[in-house]
Amino acid sequence: MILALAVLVGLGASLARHRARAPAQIARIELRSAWLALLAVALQWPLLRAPAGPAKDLAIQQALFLLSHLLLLVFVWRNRQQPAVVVVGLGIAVNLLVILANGGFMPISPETMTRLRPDVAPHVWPIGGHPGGSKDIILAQGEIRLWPLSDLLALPPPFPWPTAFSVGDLVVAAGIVILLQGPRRAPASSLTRAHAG
Amino acid sequence: MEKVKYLWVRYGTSRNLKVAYIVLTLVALAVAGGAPGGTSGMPIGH
Repeated sequence: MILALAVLVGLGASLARHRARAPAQIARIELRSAWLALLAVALQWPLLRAPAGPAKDLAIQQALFLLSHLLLLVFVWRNRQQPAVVVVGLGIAVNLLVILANGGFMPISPETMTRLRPDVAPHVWPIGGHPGGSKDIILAQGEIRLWPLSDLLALPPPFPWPTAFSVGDLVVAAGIVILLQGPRRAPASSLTRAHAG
Repeated sequence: MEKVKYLWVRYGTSRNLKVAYIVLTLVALAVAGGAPGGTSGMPIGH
């Protein structure tokens, strides 16, 4: 939800900046192989829908989840001419690095889980468990590799959708907000018209 | 039905459809590229 909010923030910023021209500005964004991003979501869906339980029971969901990152990296490579997509790619790469370093899931500590659910004490969260509706695995803070890049930032209640997120998520969000401002340069056709005029 | 047809003619322009496709792609990129953690599940054994 937190990253979907980035799209809303990006749209709002584009509207504030370009006003009535915002849709035209967004329509100028050229994305190659956009279907790869849509397919990546489809591959991650089984993990996102998996109920809470031991992460070791989610081998198939985990394999699809890791495979989806290949598609995302291809998408970023195909669109690398756009600086904002490169920023998104950097965020994805940072997240992937932490995920790979921690056995194929994004690590989150029991302490961060308790910030999201203050009614549950940290010791109750099972180590090695997968919180439902996420890509996470609960690991003791001391066992998390690359801990500063893991899901350690949190939007706790009373935020309507309590969420933990990573530095990589922030980078992805920044890239999306920048991308929604549209290309900087005018399209070649309008430059031609300007010269002709 | 007539109203839907009117809305489609009024707003279903190729540019607006492209904007919708771009926004959909970016939502997908946000969902797939990020790894935010939630708490929709109860703690196991709780």
